[in-house]
Amino acid sequence: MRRSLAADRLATAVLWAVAVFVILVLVAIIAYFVIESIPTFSLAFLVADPSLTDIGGIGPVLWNSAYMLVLTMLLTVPLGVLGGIYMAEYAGEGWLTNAIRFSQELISSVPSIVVGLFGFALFVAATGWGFTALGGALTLMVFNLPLLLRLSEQAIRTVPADERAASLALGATKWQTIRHAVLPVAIPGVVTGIVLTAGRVFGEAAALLFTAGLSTPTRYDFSNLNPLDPQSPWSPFRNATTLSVFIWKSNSEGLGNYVHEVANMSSMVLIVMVLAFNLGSRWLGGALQRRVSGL
Amino acid sequence: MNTPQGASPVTATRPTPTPLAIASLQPELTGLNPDAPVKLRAQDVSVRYGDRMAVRDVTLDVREHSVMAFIGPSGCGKSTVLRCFDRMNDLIPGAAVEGRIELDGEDVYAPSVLPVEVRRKVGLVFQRPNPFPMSIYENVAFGPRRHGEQDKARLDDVVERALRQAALWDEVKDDLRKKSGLSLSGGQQQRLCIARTLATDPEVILMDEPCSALDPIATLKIEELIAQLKADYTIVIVTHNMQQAARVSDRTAFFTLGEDRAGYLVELDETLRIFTNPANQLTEDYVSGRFG
Ligand SMILES: Nc1ncnc2c1ncn2[C@@H]1O[C@H](COP(=O)(O)OP(=O)(O)OP(=O)(O)O)[C@@H](O)[C@H]1O
Ligand SMILES: [Mg+2]
Repeated sequence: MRRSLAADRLATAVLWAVAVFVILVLVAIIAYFVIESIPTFSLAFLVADPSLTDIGGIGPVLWNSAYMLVLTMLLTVPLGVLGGIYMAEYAGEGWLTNAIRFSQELISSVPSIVVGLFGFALFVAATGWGFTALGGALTLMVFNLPLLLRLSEQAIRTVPADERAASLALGATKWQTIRHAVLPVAIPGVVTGIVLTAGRVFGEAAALLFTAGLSTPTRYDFSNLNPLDPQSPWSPFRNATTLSVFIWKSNSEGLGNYVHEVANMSSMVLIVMVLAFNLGSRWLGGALQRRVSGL
Repeated sequence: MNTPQGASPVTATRPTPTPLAIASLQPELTGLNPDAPVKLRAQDVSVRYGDRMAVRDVTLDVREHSVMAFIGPSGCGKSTVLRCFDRMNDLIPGAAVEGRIELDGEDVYAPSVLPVEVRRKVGLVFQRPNPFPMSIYENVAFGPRRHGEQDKARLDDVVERALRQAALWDEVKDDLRKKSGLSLSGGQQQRLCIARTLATDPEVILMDEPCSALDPIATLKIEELIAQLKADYTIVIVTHNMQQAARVSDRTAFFTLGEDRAGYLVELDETLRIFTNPANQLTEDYVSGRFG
């Protein structure tokens, strides 16, 4: 009795120490970049064009990050969620299901730089598009789709069997049951999955280096709405350096008079955004949960 | 409360029936009318889960507008037989139903019959109250909506009527859309589930121990409800509560476990006879609480 109590205390203490350590590391990272950024940071940095002689800004790359995010999610979400529904509700146990599960696991353990090379071979070279936002988005989809599939399947599977049985017993068809009894309960989990995936899109650099391009864009003309014009910021067929790629590039090339400051401030912006995604997904998931439970 | 122990063959709330009293019962009023058409029929029904026989060779009739009770020890296959009537066994992987199940004389398991069609005519109230995590209104409107009802006024009507029938209306009418079905008490939740089933306008209502999670007052309300519903519906109720079976049902089927650990139907008779003068010794032992 006494020994198990002591063991319990020890375990609690160890877990507590680990948790504190993890939080401290996180806080240290954020604090480092915030402190480094404060002297030079201004809101203009978020909208201005990059510059080699001056501090400039990250306006275009931020825009590209947002653009890539939307584009990737447009491609990933419908397939991921529908696929999750299929895997949870329709795919029985069989070789196809097993093959899908196996490749899901396999793809999520492939380093993203390798996925990037694959994307280069397929969406840049083979298609002849060159470095494009679309190529980048498709590459991101290669590992985001399995992730979202998995997360939505899990969210749907956690819906209690009671819910399904109740709906079927009322004479609802299988699809009606999925649509009206299962999905409303699973939605918070699915949304959490979507937002987490979105956070990964925002933070990813390696997979985009060889697919969405590295050129530093300037002077976007937002009135150019032609989606096929590579100069238009709205076009998927254009170079689209995102914020994380931009950080990598500024640091590795080391060009410009304020490389150090620009990299630090960009990192701060990136960290804050990814953090916002993660917190946002928790909040959104919780809010939706309360919503569907009626109160 | 749920064990047969201590249950006297005839309940305290019901005076010991003399042969005269039995004879004076009017068959039309008690649901014992021998001319009433057969609503449900099971013929030589056996169900297995995987290679395990759960219940075998069940043959029974349920007449229209009557209440039948299924009683028997745990694991003897009462729920299993019940689930045959609305094809809910289809949901259980490995479950196989042999024999013939009829609804209005038609084979429920015929290849041309869709389970959905059966379940629209045969409603099921589960043992554990399982409202959807939605508002009270949406819970009750769920069935009608899935069956294609979209008219708001008619839905309002159906919801109110079902909740009134289930004796829940007065308690929830002020927060139909504000309160989640899950925020109700257990007894209210079970009545909500009954209302939800009634709203689909079934012909048969199957109830699997609907009162096992309820207090005596809520139980009484449900029993009163069953007595009223009999006029319009055919009801089969599984219960572990002898008094309840005696109070609500016209006929009672007693199941037990055989030597081979598969359940079977021992005896089916008028409820009064099952509880006062059963033909089979096993039944006698069970209803008088002498069952192991
Ligand atoms: N989903 C299932 N999968 C496998 N076996 C099952 C399943 N449901 C029931 N069984 C088995 O079938 C037999 C009959 O079960 P059933 O639930 O019909 O009994 P019951 O009479 O309703 O019991 P209780 O009074 O405890 O509810 C039991 O031996 C049980 O283990
Ligand atoms: Mg049961």
